[in-house]
Amino acid sequence: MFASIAHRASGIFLVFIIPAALWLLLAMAHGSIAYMYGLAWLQSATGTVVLWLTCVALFYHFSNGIRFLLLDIGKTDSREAMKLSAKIVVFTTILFALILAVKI
Amino acid sequence: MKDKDLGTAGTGFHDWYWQRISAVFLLLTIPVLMGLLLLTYNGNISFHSLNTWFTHPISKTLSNLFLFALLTHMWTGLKVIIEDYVHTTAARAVVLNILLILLVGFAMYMSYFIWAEISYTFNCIPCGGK
Repeated sequence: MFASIAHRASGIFLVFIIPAALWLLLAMAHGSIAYMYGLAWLQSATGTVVLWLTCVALFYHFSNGIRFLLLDIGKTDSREAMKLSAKIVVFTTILFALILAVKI
Repeated sequence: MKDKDLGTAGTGFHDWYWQRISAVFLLLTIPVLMGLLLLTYNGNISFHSLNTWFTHPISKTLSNLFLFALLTHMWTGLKVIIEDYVHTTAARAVVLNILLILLVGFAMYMSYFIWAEISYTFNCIPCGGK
């Protein structure tokens, strides 16, 4: 239940942020001035926090998406398996968020 | 598949199918996008290598495919959410039409951005800049 709601919430967040990330990366790839400004923004406090949030939301949506795809091909087709995989996804995401917060 | 219980519009299976197709494509490509962004953030990718990679026709094609998969996934995902929380047909039609126009407009703008190198206004190596 929580896993599905969080999948939607992270999805809505990513709808706004991933196109912006693509736009930013392309702009930085196409112009040296845009690269300079983009890198300065990314390495500022705001940019770092936004990048961290994006990576965490994406990681969650990514792993939970794999879980849904496995469900569709009938690999985790029981209540217990779905509960277990939801726990695995949530704990992996928390672990990833902590590691990224230290490493970034 | 037999034509029964397909829902009112009869396009549910179609939406579900395209959502999965785009999901698998994004599964393969989105780590590249985030990896490049993180490596650039860490200062491991200079402007010159980023520019060389993204101006290659193959990477332009892949960027455009990624863009289409992303927009397909956004459309199918948001459609499911909107149809769950907006209950009247009229409101749904209005919201979904606005969303569709925004997404198609964004697709056009970004395709131009990818192919025409909007950075003529900036400095771009193949355009004769620094």
